[in-house]
Amino acid sequence: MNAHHDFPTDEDLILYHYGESPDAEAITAELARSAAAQTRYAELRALLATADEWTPELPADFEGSVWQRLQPRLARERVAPLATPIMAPPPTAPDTAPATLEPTTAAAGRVLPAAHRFGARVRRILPAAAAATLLLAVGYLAGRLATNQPPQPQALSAEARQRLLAETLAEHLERSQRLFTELANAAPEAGAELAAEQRTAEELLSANRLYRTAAERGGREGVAALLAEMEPVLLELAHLPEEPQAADLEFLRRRIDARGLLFKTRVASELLTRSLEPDSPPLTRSTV
Amino acid sequence: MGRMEDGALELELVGRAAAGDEGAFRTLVDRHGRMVFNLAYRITTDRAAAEDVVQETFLRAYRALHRFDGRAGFGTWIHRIAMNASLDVLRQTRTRREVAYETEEGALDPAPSHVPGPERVAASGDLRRALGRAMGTLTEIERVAFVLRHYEGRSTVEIGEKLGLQSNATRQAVFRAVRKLRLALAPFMTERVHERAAESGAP
Repeated sequence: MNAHHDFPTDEDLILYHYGESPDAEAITAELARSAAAQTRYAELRALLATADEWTPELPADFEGSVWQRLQPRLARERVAPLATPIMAPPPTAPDTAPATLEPTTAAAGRVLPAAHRFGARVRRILPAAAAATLLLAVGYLAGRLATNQPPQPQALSAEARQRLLAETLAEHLERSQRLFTELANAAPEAGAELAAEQRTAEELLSANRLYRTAAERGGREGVAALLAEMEPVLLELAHLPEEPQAADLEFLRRRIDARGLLFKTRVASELLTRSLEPDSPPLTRSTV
Repeated sequence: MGRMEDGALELELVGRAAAGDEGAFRTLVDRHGRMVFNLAYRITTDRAAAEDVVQETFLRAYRALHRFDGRAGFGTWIHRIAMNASLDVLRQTRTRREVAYETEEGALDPAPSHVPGPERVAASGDLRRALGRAMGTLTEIERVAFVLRHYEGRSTVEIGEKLGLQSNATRQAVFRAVRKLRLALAPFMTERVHERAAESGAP
Protein backbone atom coordinates (compact mmCIF):
# COMPACT_ATOMS: atom_id res chain seq x y z
CA MET A 1 0.00 0.00 0.00
CA ASN A 2 1.13 3.50 -0.73
CA ALA A 3 2.24 5.00 2.56
CA HIS A 4 2.42 8.59 1.37
CA HIS A 5 0.60 10.80 3.85
CA ASP A 6 -1.60 12.58 1.27
CA PHE A 7 -2.47 9.42 -0.61
CA PRO A 8 -4.58 9.32 -2.67
CA THR A 9 -3.82 12.62 -4.35
CA ASP A 10 -6.34 14.38 -6.57
CA GLU A 11 -4.51 12.98 -9.57
CA ASP A 12 -4.70 9.48 -8.11
CA LEU A 13 -8.45 9.88 -7.69
CA ILE A 14 -8.90 11.11 -11.25
CA LEU A 15 -7.06 8.09 -12.64
CA TYR A 16 -9.02 5.86 -10.28
CA HIS A 17 -12.30 7.36 -11.45
CA TYR A 18 -11.45 6.65 -15.07
CA GLY A 19 -10.23 3.12 -14.29
CA GLU A 20 -6.60 3.85 -15.09
CA SER A 21 -5.04 3.90 -11.66
CA PRO A 22 -2.09 1.59 -11.08
CA ASP A 23 -2.95 1.78 -7.36
CA ALA A 24 -6.63 0.93 -7.67
CA GLU A 25 -6.69 -1.61 -4.85
CA ALA A 26 -4.87 0.68 -2.45
CA ILE A 27 -7.18 3.56 -3.29
CA THR A 28 -10.25 1.42 -2.77
CA ALA A 29 -8.94 0.42 0.62
CA GLU A 30 -8.12 4.00 1.54
CA LEU A 31 -11.59 5.16 0.47
CA ALA A 32 -13.10 2.51 2.72
CA ARG A 33 -10.94 3.67 5.61
CA SER A 34 -10.75 7.44 5.31
CA ALA A 35 -13.71 9.80 5.53
CA ALA A 36 -11.55 12.62 4.20
CA ALA A 37 -10.67 10.60 1.12
CA GLN A 38 -14.33 9.72 0.67
CA THR A 39 -15.27 13.41 0.78
CA ARG A 40 -12.64 14.35 -1.77
CA TYR A 41 -13.70 11.55 -4.07
CA ALA A 42 -17.36 12.53 -3.72
CA GLU A 43 -16.46 16.09 -4.68
CA LEU A 44 -14.57 14.88 -7.72
CA ARG A 45 -17.43 12.68 -8.84
CA ALA A 46 -19.90 15.51 -8.37
CA LEU A 47 -17.69 17.76 -10.47
CA LEU A 48 -17.38 15.22 -13.26
CA ALA A 49 -21.09 14.45 -13.13
CA THR A 50 -21.73 18.17 -13.50
CA ALA A 51 -19.47 18.21 -16.54
CA ASP A 52 -21.81 15.64 -18.10
CA GLU A 53 -24.39 18.38 -18.38
CA TRP A 54 -22.28 20.29 -20.88
CA THR A 55 -24.38 19.73 -23.95
CA PRO A 56 -25.18 22.40 -26.52
CA GLU A 57 -28.78 23.42 -26.92
CA LEU A 58 -30.15 22.37 -30.26
CA PRO A 59 -33.38 23.38 -31.95
CA ALA A 60 -36.12 20.79 -32.26
CA ASP A 61 -35.69 20.68 -36.03
CA PHE A 62 -31.93 20.21 -35.84
CA GLU A 63 -32.03 17.03 -37.91
CA GLY A 64 -34.14 18.75 -40.55
CA SER A 65 -31.68 21.60 -40.91
CA VAL A 66 -28.77 19.16 -41.13
CA TRP A 67 -30.54 17.31 -43.89
CA GLN A 68 -31.45 20.49 -45.73
CA ARG A 69 -27.76 21.32 -46.09
CA LEU A 70 -26.62 17.78 -46.63
CA GLN A 71 -29.08 16.50 -49.19
CA PRO A 72 -27.94 18.68 -52.13
CA ARG A 73 -24.37 17.66 -51.44
CA LEU A 74 -25.31 14.01 -51.51
CA ALA A 75 -27.01 14.59 -54.83
CA ARG A 76 -23.79 16.07 -56.15
CA GLU A 77 -21.88 13.10 -54.78
CA ARG A 78 -24.03 10.79 -56.85
CA VAL A 79 -23.08 12.56 -60.08
CA ALA A 80 -19.48 13.08 -59.03
CA PRO A 81 -18.08 10.39 -61.34
CA LEU A 82 -19.49 12.28 -64.33
CA ALA A 83 -18.36 15.63 -63.12
CA THR A 84 -15.01 14.76 -61.61
CA PRO A 85 -12.68 17.70 -62.01
CA ILE A 86 -9.55 17.26 -64.04
CA MET A 87 -7.33 17.63 -61.01
CA ALA A 88 -9.46 15.74 -58.50
CA PRO A 89 -7.54 14.49 -55.47
CA PRO A 90 -7.44 10.73 -54.85
CA PRO A 91 -10.13 9.34 -52.58
CA THR A 92 -9.20 8.82 -48.96
CA ALA A 93 -10.58 6.65 -46.21
CA PRO A 94 -13.12 8.51 -44.09
CA ASP A 95 -11.29 8.11 -40.84
CA THR A 96 -7.89 9.00 -42.24
CA ALA A 97 -8.94 11.82 -44.51
CA PRO A 98 -6.75 14.90 -44.33
CA ALA A 99 -7.86 17.89 -42.34
CA THR A 100 -10.38 19.73 -44.42
CA LEU A 101 -13.86 21.11 -44.17
CA GLU A 102 -14.35 20.83 -47.86
CA PRO A 103 -15.93 17.81 -49.44
CA THR A 104 -13.24 16.02 -51.44
CA THR A 105 -15.41 16.34 -54.49
CA ALA A 106 -16.59 19.81 -53.66
CA ALA A 107 -15.23 21.06 -56.94
CA ALA A 108 -17.14 18.37 -58.77
CA GLY A 109 -19.85 20.84 -59.58
CA ARG A 110 -23.62 20.77 -59.45
CA VAL A 111 -25.88 18.46 -61.34
CA LEU A 112 -25.67 19.93 -64.80
CA PRO A 113 -26.29 18.68 -68.29
CA ALA A 114 -23.09 17.40 -69.91
CA ALA A 115 -22.53 20.43 -72.14
CA HIS A 116 -23.02 22.76 -69.22
CA ARG A 117 -20.73 20.65 -67.13
CA PHE A 118 -17.96 21.22 -69.63
CA GLY A 119 -18.64 24.93 -69.57
CA ALA A 120 -18.69 24.92 -65.82
CA ARG A 121 -15.36 23.11 -65.77
CA VAL A 122 -13.81 25.63 -68.09
CA ARG A 123 -15.19 28.47 -65.99
CA ARG A 124 -13.69 26.88 -62.93
CA ILE A 125 -10.37 26.12 -64.46
CA LEU A 126 -9.73 29.38 -66.28
CA PRO A 127 -9.71 31.69 -63.29
CA ALA A 128 -7.78 29.09 -61.34
CA ALA A 129 -5.23 28.84 -64.10
CA ALA A 130 -4.93 32.60 -64.28
CA ALA A 131 -4.60 32.83 -60.54
CA ALA A 132 -2.12 29.98 -60.53
CA THR A 133 0.05 31.74 -63.07
CA LEU A 134 0.05 34.87 -60.99
CA LEU A 135 0.59 32.96 -57.81
CA LEU A 136 3.45 30.99 -59.18
CA ALA A 137 5.10 34.31 -59.68
CA VAL A 138 3.94 35.82 -56.42
CA GLY A 139 4.57 32.66 -54.43
CA TYR A 140 7.97 32.25 -55.93
CA LEU A 141 8.85 35.82 -55.22
CA ALA A 142 7.41 35.71 -51.74
CA GLY A 143 9.21 32.45 -51.09
CA ARG A 144 12.45 34.01 -52.18
CA LEU A 145 11.79 36.84 -49.81
CA ALA A 146 11.06 34.52 -46.92
CA THR A 147 14.10 32.33 -47.42
CA ASN A 148 16.52 35.20 -47.88
CA GLN A 149 18.07 33.61 -50.91
CA PRO A 150 20.35 35.81 -52.94
CA PRO A 151 18.42 37.66 -55.64
CA GLN A 152 18.77 36.64 -59.25
CA PRO A 153 19.86 39.31 -61.65
CA GLN A 154 16.39 39.67 -63.16
CA ALA A 155 14.51 39.47 -59.83
CA LEU A 156 12.37 42.31 -58.60
CA SER A 157 13.50 44.18 -55.55
CA ALA A 158 12.17 43.06 -52.19
CA GLU A 159 10.04 46.15 -52.06
CA ALA A 160 8.56 45.46 -55.48
CA ARG A 161 7.79 41.90 -54.52
CA GLN A 162 5.99 43.03 -51.40
CA ARG A 163 4.07 45.60 -53.38
CA LEU A 164 3.01 43.00 -55.93
CA LEU A 165 1.81 40.65 -53.22
CA ALA A 166 0.03 43.44 -51.34
CA GLU A 167 -1.71 44.69 -54.48
CA THR A 168 -2.86 41.21 -55.42
CA LEU A 169 -4.17 40.44 -51.97
CA ALA A 170 -5.84 43.82 -51.56
CA GLU A 171 -7.71 43.39 -54.82
CA HIS A 172 -8.80 39.88 -53.89
CA LEU A 173 -10.02 41.00 -50.49
CA GLU A 174 -11.84 43.98 -51.95
CA ARG A 175 -13.61 41.75 -54.44
CA SER A 176 -14.51 39.30 -51.71
CA GLN A 177 -15.81 42.12 -49.57
CA ARG A 178 -18.07 43.28 -52.41
CA LEU A 179 -19.42 39.76 -52.76
CA PHE A 180 -20.10 39.47 -49.03
CA THR A 181 -21.80 42.87 -49.08
CA GLU A 182 -24.02 41.82 -51.97
CA LEU A 183 -25.02 38.72 -50.07
CA ALA A 184 -25.67 40.67 -46.91
CA ASN A 185 -27.90 43.09 -48.79
CA ALA A 186 -29.70 40.59 -51.00
CA ALA A 187 -33.44 40.28 -50.48
CA PRO A 188 -34.37 37.11 -48.59
CA GLU A 189 -36.34 35.78 -51.53
CA ALA A 190 -33.48 36.45 -53.94
CA GLY A 191 -32.14 32.94 -53.58
CA ALA A 192 -32.92 32.04 -57.18
CA GLU A 193 -30.96 35.02 -58.49
CA LEU A 194 -27.59 34.15 -57.07
CA ALA A 195 -26.06 32.64 -60.20
CA ALA A 196 -23.72 35.59 -60.78
CA GLU A 197 -22.63 35.63 -57.15
CA GLN A 198 -22.01 31.91 -57.28
CA ARG A 199 -19.78 32.29 -60.33
CA THR A 200 -17.86 35.03 -58.57
CA ALA A 201 -17.55 32.83 -55.51
CA GLU A 202 -16.19 29.98 -57.64
CA GLU A 203 -13.54 32.26 -59.08
CA LEU A 204 -12.66 33.71 -55.72
CA LEU A 205 -12.51 30.26 -54.19
CA SER A 206 -9.99 29.03 -56.72
CA ALA A 207 -7.87 32.12 -56.26
CA ASN A 208 -8.33 32.14 -52.49
CA ARG A 209 -6.49 28.88 -51.97
CA LEU A 210 -3.54 30.02 -54.01
CA TYR A 211 -3.42 33.45 -52.43
CA ARG A 212 -3.48 31.87 -49.00
CA THR A 213 -0.38 29.88 -49.85
CA ALA A 214 1.27 32.97 -51.26
CA ALA A 215 0.33 35.02 -48.21
CA GLU A 216 1.75 32.37 -45.89
CA ARG A 217 4.97 32.17 -47.86
CA GLY A 218 5.19 35.93 -48.03
CA GLY A 219 4.94 36.28 -44.27
CA ARG A 220 1.46 37.82 -44.37
CA GLU A 221 0.07 35.44 -41.83
CA GLY A 222 -2.79 37.69 -40.82
CA VAL A 223 -4.14 37.76 -44.34
CA ALA A 224 -3.55 34.02 -44.66
CA ALA A 225 -5.67 33.47 -41.56
CA LEU A 226 -8.42 35.65 -42.95
CA LEU A 227 -8.36 33.85 -46.28
CA ALA A 228 -8.68 30.56 -44.42
CA GLU A 229 -11.76 31.91 -42.67
CA MET A 230 -13.28 33.03 -45.96
CA GLU A 231 -12.78 29.72 -47.68
CA PRO A 232 -15.70 27.72 -46.20
CA VAL A 233 -18.08 30.61 -46.92
CA LEU A 234 -16.95 30.88 -50.53
CA LEU A 235 -17.26 27.13 -50.81
CA GLU A 236 -20.80 27.17 -49.47
CA LEU A 237 -21.83 29.91 -51.85
CA ALA A 238 -20.13 28.39 -54.87
CA HIS A 239 -21.89 25.09 -54.29
CA LEU A 240 -25.36 26.23 -53.42
CA PRO A 241 -28.15 24.34 -55.17
CA GLU A 242 -29.19 25.72 -58.53
CA GLU A 243 -32.32 27.09 -56.92
CA PRO A 244 -31.24 27.98 -53.41
CA GLN A 245 -33.79 28.47 -50.70
CA ALA A 246 -34.08 31.55 -48.54
CA ALA A 247 -32.72 29.40 -45.70
CA ASP A 248 -29.50 28.80 -47.67
CA LEU A 249 -29.02 32.52 -48.04
CA GLU A 250 -29.77 33.11 -44.41
CA PHE A 251 -27.28 30.44 -43.40
CA LEU A 252 -24.57 32.12 -45.43
CA ARG A 253 -25.39 35.50 -43.99
CA ARG A 254 -25.15 34.16 -40.49
CA ARG A 255 -21.82 32.59 -41.33
CA ILE A 256 -20.47 35.84 -42.77
CA ASP A 257 -21.77 37.73 -39.79
CA ALA A 258 -20.48 35.26 -37.21
CA ARG A 259 -16.99 35.43 -38.65
CA GLY A 260 -17.07 39.19 -39.06
CA LEU A 261 -15.96 38.78 -42.65
CA LEU A 262 -17.38 42.04 -43.94
CA PHE A 263 -15.42 44.00 -41.40
CA LYS A 264 -12.28 41.93 -41.60
CA THR A 265 -12.03 41.98 -45.38
CA ARG A 266 -12.62 45.72 -45.44
CA VAL A 267 -10.02 46.47 -42.79
CA ALA A 268 -7.43 44.09 -44.22
CA SER A 269 -7.93 45.43 -47.72
CA GLU A 270 -7.59 49.00 -46.48
CA LEU A 271 -4.47 48.21 -44.50
CA LEU A 272 -2.90 46.54 -47.50
CA THR A 273 -3.83 49.43 -49.76
CA ARG A 274 -2.51 51.91 -47.23
CA SER A 275 0.75 50.00 -47.12
CA LEU A 276 1.16 50.72 -50.80
CA GLU A 277 1.12 54.45 -50.24
CA PRO A 278 4.47 56.26 -50.32
CA ASP A 279 6.16 56.62 -46.93
CA SER A 280 3.80 54.19 -45.25
CA PRO A 281 5.37 52.15 -42.43
CA PRO A 282 6.02 48.48 -43.28
CA LEU A 283 3.29 46.03 -42.29
CA THR A 284 4.17 43.48 -39.68
CA ARG A 285 2.75 40.18 -38.51
CA SER A 286 0.70 42.07 -35.96
CA THR A 287 -1.16 43.90 -38.69
CA VAL A 288 -1.43 42.11 -42.01
CA MET B 1 -35.44 -1.86 -29.36
CA GLY B 2 -32.58 -4.13 -28.26
CA ARG B 3 -29.04 -3.44 -29.25
CA MET B 4 -28.89 -6.39 -31.65
CA GLU B 5 -32.15 -5.44 -33.33
CA ASP B 6 -30.91 -1.88 -33.53
CA GLY B 7 -27.65 -3.03 -35.06
CA ALA B 8 -29.49 -5.17 -37.59
CA LEU B 9 -31.76 -2.27 -38.50
CA GLU B 10 -28.81 0.06 -38.96
CA LEU B 11 -26.99 -2.50 -41.04
CA GLU B 12 -30.04 -2.72 -43.25
CA LEU B 13 -30.24 1.07 -43.45
CA VAL B 14 -26.60 1.27 -44.44
CA GLY B 15 -27.13 -1.34 -47.12
CA ARG B 16 -30.13 0.49 -48.51
CA ALA B 17 -28.32 3.83 -48.37
CA ALA B 18 -25.33 2.36 -50.18
CA ALA B 19 -27.73 1.13 -52.84
CA GLY B 20 -28.99 4.68 -53.34
CA ASP B 21 -31.90 4.88 -50.92
CA GLU B 22 -31.70 8.47 -49.78
CA GLY B 23 -34.42 8.01 -47.19
CA ALA B 24 -32.38 5.31 -45.49
CA PHE B 25 -29.39 7.60 -45.25
CA ARG B 26 -31.57 10.36 -43.87
CA THR B 27 -32.74 8.01 -41.14
CA LEU B 28 -29.11 7.38 -40.21
CA VAL B 29 -28.46 11.13 -40.18
CA ASP B 30 -31.50 11.66 -37.98
CA ARG B 31 -30.39 8.96 -35.57
CA HIS B 32 -26.81 10.12 -35.18
CA GLY B 33 -26.75 13.81 -36.09
CA ARG B 34 -27.04 15.10 -32.54
CA MET B 35 -24.36 12.80 -31.24
CA VAL B 36 -22.03 14.00 -33.99
CA PHE B 37 -22.85 17.63 -33.25
CA ASN B 38 -22.33 17.21 -29.52
CA LEU B 39 -18.95 15.59 -30.04
CA ALA B 40 -17.90 18.21 -32.56
CA TYR B 41 -19.09 21.05 -30.37
CA ARG B 42 -17.25 19.76 -27.34
CA ILE B 43 -14.04 19.45 -29.28
CA THR B 44 -14.28 22.70 -31.23
CA THR B 45 -16.49 24.76 -28.83
CA ASP B 46 -17.80 26.54 -31.91
CA ARG B 47 -21.32 26.03 -33.20
CA ALA B 48 -20.53 26.94 -36.78
CA ALA B 49 -17.52 24.65 -36.81
CA ALA B 50 -19.58 21.87 -35.25
CA GLU B 51 -22.22 22.30 -37.95
CA ASP B 52 -19.49 21.98 -40.55
CA VAL B 53 -18.21 18.85 -38.87
CA VAL B 54 -21.68 17.30 -38.99
CA GLN B 55 -21.80 17.92 -42.73
CA GLU B 56 -18.30 16.69 -43.32
CA THR B 57 -18.81 13.60 -41.18
CA PHE B 58 -21.90 12.45 -43.04
CA LEU B 59 -20.36 13.25 -46.39
CA ARG B 60 -17.31 11.17 -45.56
CA ALA B 61 -19.58 8.40 -44.33
CA TYR B 62 -21.73 8.58 -47.44
CA ARG B 63 -18.72 8.21 -49.69
CA ALA B 64 -17.50 5.23 -47.69
CA LEU B 65 -20.79 3.41 -47.10
CA HIS B 66 -19.71 0.56 -49.34
CA ARG B 67 -16.73 -0.01 -47.06
CA PHE B 68 -18.84 -0.31 -43.90
CA ASP B 69 -18.62 -3.98 -42.97
CA GLY B 70 -20.83 -3.99 -39.88
CA ARG B 71 -18.17 -5.39 -37.55
CA ALA B 72 -18.64 -2.31 -35.38
CA GLY B 73 -21.98 -0.56 -35.11
CA PHE B 74 -22.77 2.30 -37.43
CA GLY B 75 -22.77 4.61 -34.41
CA THR B 76 -19.22 3.59 -33.51
CA TRP B 77 -18.15 4.02 -37.11
CA ILE B 78 -19.71 7.44 -37.56
CA HIS B 79 -18.38 8.47 -34.17
CA ARG B 80 -14.82 7.72 -35.26
CA ILE B 81 -15.30 9.71 -38.45
CA ALA B 82 -16.77 12.59 -36.47
CA MET B 83 -13.92 12.62 -34.00
CA ASN B 84 -11.35 12.74 -36.79
CA ALA B 85 -13.29 15.42 -38.62
CA SER B 86 -13.51 17.45 -35.41
CA LEU B 87 -9.80 17.17 -34.77
CA ASP B 88 -9.13 18.13 -38.40
CA VAL B 89 -11.19 21.27 -37.92
CA LEU B 90 -9.43 22.02 -34.68
CA ARG B 91 -6.04 21.76 -36.35
CA GLN B 92 -7.18 24.15 -39.05
CA THR B 93 -8.65 26.53 -36.52
CA ARG B 94 -5.55 26.35 -34.38
CA THR B 95 -3.38 27.26 -37.33
CA ARG B 96 -5.63 30.21 -38.05
CA ARG B 97 -5.79 31.32 -34.44
CA GLU B 98 -2.06 31.10 -33.94
CA VAL B 99 -1.59 33.60 -36.71
CA ALA B 100 -4.64 35.70 -35.88
CA TYR B 101 -3.88 39.32 -36.19
CA GLU B 102 -5.28 42.52 -34.89
CA THR B 103 -5.90 45.93 -36.25
CA GLU B 104 -4.26 48.90 -34.69
CA GLU B 105 -7.37 49.15 -32.49
CA GLY B 106 -7.02 45.48 -31.62
CA ALA B 107 -10.54 44.72 -32.80
CA LEU B 108 -10.04 42.56 -35.85
CA ASP B 109 -10.18 39.29 -33.98
CA PRO B 110 -13.51 39.35 -32.14
CA ALA B 111 -12.79 36.19 -30.13
CA PRO B 112 -14.14 36.65 -26.61
CA SER B 113 -12.02 36.32 -23.52
CA HIS B 114 -11.71 32.73 -22.47
CA VAL B 115 -10.88 33.41 -18.88
CA PRO B 116 -14.03 34.54 -17.10
CA GLY B 117 -13.79 35.34 -13.45
CA PRO B 118 -15.59 33.09 -10.98
CA GLU B 119 -17.91 35.94 -10.05
CA ARG B 120 -19.21 35.97 -13.63
CA VAL B 121 -19.77 32.25 -13.49
CA ALA B 122 -21.54 32.47 -10.15
CA ALA B 123 -23.64 35.41 -11.25
CA SER B 124 -24.95 33.68 -14.35
CA GLY B 125 -26.97 31.17 -12.37
CA ASP B 126 -27.03 29.04 -15.45
CA LEU B 127 -25.04 25.88 -15.02
CA ARG B 128 -24.98 24.96 -18.66
CA ARG B 129 -23.60 28.32 -19.65
CA ALA B 130 -21.23 28.24 -16.73
CA LEU B 131 -19.97 24.89 -17.96
CA GLY B 132 -19.42 26.30 -21.41
CA ARG B 133 -17.45 29.16 -19.95
CA ALA B 134 -15.55 26.82 -17.67
CA MET B 135 -14.56 24.77 -20.70
CA GLY B 136 -13.39 28.02 -22.22
CA THR B 137 -10.82 28.36 -19.46
CA LEU B 138 -9.06 25.21 -20.66
CA THR B 139 -6.37 25.24 -23.24
CA GLU B 140 -7.15 23.40 -26.43
CA ILE B 141 -5.02 20.41 -25.48
CA GLU B 142 -6.57 20.26 -22.02
CA ARG B 143 -10.09 20.48 -23.40
CA VAL B 144 -9.66 17.88 -26.10
CA ALA B 145 -7.86 15.51 -23.74
CA PHE B 146 -10.66 15.94 -21.21
CA VAL B 147 -13.41 15.55 -23.81
CA LEU B 148 -11.87 12.37 -25.18
CA ARG B 149 -11.24 11.01 -21.68
CA HIS B 150 -14.45 12.03 -19.96
CA TYR B 151 -17.14 12.11 -22.64
CA GLU B 152 -15.71 9.68 -25.13
CA GLY B 153 -14.19 7.18 -22.71
CA ARG B 154 -10.88 7.02 -24.56
CA SER B 155 -7.84 5.67 -22.78
CA THR B 156 -4.80 7.79 -22.06
CA VAL B 157 -2.88 5.90 -24.73
CA GLU B 158 -5.56 6.50 -27.36
CA ILE B 159 -5.80 10.19 -26.51
CA GLY B 160 -2.04 10.51 -26.65
CA GLU B 161 -2.02 8.97 -30.10
CA LYS B 162 -4.71 11.34 -31.31
CA LEU B 163 -3.00 14.40 -29.90
CA GLY B 164 0.56 13.37 -30.49
CA LEU B 165 1.37 13.41 -26.79
CA GLN B 166 3.23 11.06 -24.47
CA SER B 167 1.07 9.30 -21.91
CA ASN B 168 2.34 11.40 -19.04
CA ALA B 169 1.65 14.64 -20.91
CA THR B 170 -1.83 13.37 -21.74
CA ARG B 171 -2.54 12.56 -18.11
CA GLN B 172 -1.24 15.95 -17.02
CA ALA B 173 -3.53 17.65 -19.55
CA VAL B 174 -6.53 15.83 -18.07
CA PHE B 175 -5.40 16.68 -14.52
CA ARG B 176 -5.06 20.35 -15.39
CA ALA B 177 -8.46 20.32 -17.06
CA VAL B 178 -10.12 18.89 -13.97
CA ARG B 179 -8.34 21.39 -11.72
CA LYS B 180 -9.49 24.30 -13.87
CA LEU B 181 -13.05 23.02 -14.03
CA ARG B 182 -13.07 22.63 -10.27
CA LEU B 183 -11.95 26.22 -9.89
CA ALA B 184 -14.36 27.62 -12.45
CA LEU B 185 -17.35 25.68 -11.13
CA ALA B 186 -16.60 26.13 -7.44
CA PRO B 187 -19.61 28.45 -6.94
CA PHE B 188 -21.92 25.62 -8.00
CA MET B 189 -20.21 22.64 -6.48
CA THR B 190 -21.05 22.85 -2.79
CA GLU B 191 -24.71 22.63 -3.58
CA ARG B 192 -24.15 19.89 -6.14
CA VAL B 193 -22.20 17.74 -3.70
CA HIS B 194 -25.00 18.03 -1.18
CA GLU B 195 -27.58 17.19 -3.81
CA ARG B 196 -25.70 14.08 -4.83
CA ALA B 197 -25.21 13.04 -1.21
CA ALA B 198 -28.95 13.43 -0.60
CA GLU B 199 -29.76 11.42 -3.72
CA SER B 200 -27.51 8.60 -2.61
CA GLY B 201 -28.95 8.62 0.91
CA ALA B 202 -25.76 9.70 2.59
CA PRO B 203 -26.10 11.56 5.90
